[in-house]
Amino acid sequence: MMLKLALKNFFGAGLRTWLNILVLSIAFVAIIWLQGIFVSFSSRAFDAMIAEEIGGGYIQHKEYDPYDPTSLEETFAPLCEILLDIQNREKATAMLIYPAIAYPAGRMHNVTLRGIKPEQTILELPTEKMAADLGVVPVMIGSRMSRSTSLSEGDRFMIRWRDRRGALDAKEFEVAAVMSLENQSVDSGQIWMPLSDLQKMLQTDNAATIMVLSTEFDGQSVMGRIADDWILKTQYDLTEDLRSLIAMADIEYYVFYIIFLLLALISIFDTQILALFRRRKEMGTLMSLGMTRHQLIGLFTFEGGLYALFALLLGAVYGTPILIWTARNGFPLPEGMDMDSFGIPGITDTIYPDYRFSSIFSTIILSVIIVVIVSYLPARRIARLKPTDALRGKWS
Amino acid sequence: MKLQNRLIWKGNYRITGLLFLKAVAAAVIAIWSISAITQEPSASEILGHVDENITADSRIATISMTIHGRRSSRTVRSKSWVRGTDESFSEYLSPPREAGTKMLKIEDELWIYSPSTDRTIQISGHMLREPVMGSDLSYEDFMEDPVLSNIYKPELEGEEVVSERDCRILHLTAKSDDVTYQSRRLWVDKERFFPLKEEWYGSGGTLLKTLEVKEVGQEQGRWYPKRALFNDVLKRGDGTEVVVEDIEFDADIPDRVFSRAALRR
Amino acid sequence: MQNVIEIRNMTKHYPVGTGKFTALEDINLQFGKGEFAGLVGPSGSGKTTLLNIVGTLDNQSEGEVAVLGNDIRILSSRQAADMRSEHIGFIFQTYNLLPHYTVFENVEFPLILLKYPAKKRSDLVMEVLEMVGLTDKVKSKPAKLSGGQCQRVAIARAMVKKPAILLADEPTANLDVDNSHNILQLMVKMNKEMNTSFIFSTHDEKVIRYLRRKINLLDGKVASDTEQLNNDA
Repeated sequence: MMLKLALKNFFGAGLRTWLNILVLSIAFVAIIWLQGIFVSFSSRAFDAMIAEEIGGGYIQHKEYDPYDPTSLEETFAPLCEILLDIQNREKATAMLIYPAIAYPAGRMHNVTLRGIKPEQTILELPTEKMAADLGVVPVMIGSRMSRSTSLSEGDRFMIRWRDRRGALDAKEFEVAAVMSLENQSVDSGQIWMPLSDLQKMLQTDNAATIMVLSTEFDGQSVMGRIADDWILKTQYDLTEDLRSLIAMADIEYYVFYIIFLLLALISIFDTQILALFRRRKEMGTLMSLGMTRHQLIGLFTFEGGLYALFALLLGAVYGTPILIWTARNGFPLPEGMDMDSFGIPGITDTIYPDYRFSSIFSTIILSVIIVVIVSYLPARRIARLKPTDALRGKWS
Repeated sequence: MKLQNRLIWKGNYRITGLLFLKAVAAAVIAIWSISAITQEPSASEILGHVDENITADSRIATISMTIHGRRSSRTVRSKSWVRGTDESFSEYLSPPREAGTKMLKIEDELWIYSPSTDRTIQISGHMLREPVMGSDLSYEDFMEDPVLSNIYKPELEGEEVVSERDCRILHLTAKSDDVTYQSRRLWVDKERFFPLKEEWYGSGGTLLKTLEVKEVGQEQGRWYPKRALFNDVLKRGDGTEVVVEDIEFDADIPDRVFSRAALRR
Repeated sequence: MQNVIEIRNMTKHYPVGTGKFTALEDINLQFGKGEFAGLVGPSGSGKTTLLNIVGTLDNQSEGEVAVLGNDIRILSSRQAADMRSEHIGFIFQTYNLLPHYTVFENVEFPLILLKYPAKKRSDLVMEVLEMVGLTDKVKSKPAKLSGGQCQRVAIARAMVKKPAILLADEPTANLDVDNSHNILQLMVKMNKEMNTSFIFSTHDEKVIRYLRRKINLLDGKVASDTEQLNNDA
């Protein structure tokens, strides 16, 4: 009964109803699209970080602090038998991280050298390209680094560094490959080179700053058997900053969510308020016919809820192909928009939204609840409505 | 210790000279003796003279440093008070943006006072390698022990004419492997024992920096580089030109100049 | 005859500013089953207020009002709504049809509230629509109907549940002479066939002529209460 009456009233309002439905459906589609992008942001950020940077976690020099380049000159130590053994068993790969100054085309750049075995398989990086014999030491850089230094494959440039004892030296290197990296923290300002060459440059045999563990390896199993120069940083420890970044990005998402929904809600709220004033006589009539106030509140709330229902249906009709299309073809970032400045790894030039049923479902449920609440809030006033006043078309 | 070293070098030179004269007078003919007077001094002697020339008990100088960038050049003027090898204090006079910035070096510690923030910070670690005000010189270059004989072993490599002056080429090799520049080359004026050209090398032998003295001056009997050009050869650019506008040696500098309190005055 | 409505010493006042306005004062009235009575008086005499109280849409300030044996003051709003739903029909001056419903749906609505099964609803609706002569307009929307037709739909809606009491507030005020007579004749007919008590509020002479009982209200008081034997009914 209520459904039929609500539906009749709902569509009886004509164009206004359809406008509300359209606006709300656009909000729904936009919200889901945006959410897809945010989900894609965060999952790709994690994937990229694990694949290119942290693997299954680190066993690292206890003083190693990636945010303090000054400290890098002292935060390495020789690898013990146990650590060398897990590297040999391909459970981990050693990395020596060291500051230096690069002079591509005569410009000074503070850089971080990352020495890693070309044959490693722990990180998803084309390190095998550094096995090339170029006459000079081959290095690899990411595309961001390539852009900022104007270095491309085959270019030679000088790097100046200070060895373990403090003496300066400089040498020529050649870019063996430019990698397309998703994670900017292993790209900007980073120069990858064969571990043994970096060890030679610093005159430190077998030294490393970190051991990047394979995702299948439990670092805890060797802790306690190795020198206490080394500490374990799990994947969870290392993604802490990213998680808080994503939590912040999530807040941004909710801001957009609220803005989108608000646009639609304002028109629904407005319609509801208007209805309460324009349809007082109708309410009085319904009361005289024997409807209770609660039934009336239910009716008006339900009518509001119908906006959500029909917006979902309409949104599904045109939104589904749009969302599928965007998921397949991605969303190219506008020219000049640099996602790195947001500090979120995993964002290259095109974002492929990642729609997940669970998040779409929860978004829809939440949105519907909000729409119903917005419909209910004005309808609550009916509880104070006197039938005699309603019939005369006025509020008490 | 450093002062003592310098005296010892001076003494050595005299002793060696005397020994030579004795030996020649006793044994050999006049023509030999002539050649003995012009006998080449040893590499160590040359370096000792160079050190003597460079270092002074104290000096007060006004220096302007012109940094030649790719597009434009800028000049920074400063006045510095130096006592021995361990104490130095300088104040930037211009440009307005840098004016009032003060730097104090005592032994191997360096502080900088910035008037805009009214703060004194200690420069250490990585920061020491940053170029001073975008020049070809790092803080570290200022920090280095200037007594070359202490840290390098010299070797004579030959002779060359630099800026129309006859020079001897000295190749310096670091005595220990923790010296920043493991080798250097100095073109030392034969008469004045003053380097007119200098090159710094990395441990692998790569040329890193050069210095060319374009003009020399003399003050209180001492030679000093009036106008010199530093160049970080890895970096593209026309280097940094240093002009000594005014210099005074062996001046009396009160102790309070070399105190951290002086930074804020 | 059993009284469907009993009003004793009933007074109604509204707050006006700091004081109060007395709309009805010391009313004593009884209405029996099958009455065809009218509250007559100029506007502001309290006719509509009295109808609303009797129809449980409003409460009296003092005195007692019993509708079908129920003291309306102790009825909860839910019970009052149930009472209206089951036993009381309303007809308004402005018809008050549901604009988005068809004629059939408008008339059916009270039966839906009473949770009648569909078949029974349909039978009752068609039956009453036949009585008001609108079987050809079943699927029309109120906007397509004339004023007289609308009021007949309103009558059908009020009568479809065969209520004990029908309250009509100025039912002919918006109708022309012919339509007014049609409507009134229809109501007289229903009154007789269904034994429903009709109570009007009116100042329309056409209506007054049909009344069997005429209660004159003046300034909230019953001025006279007379049987009319020579009415048109």
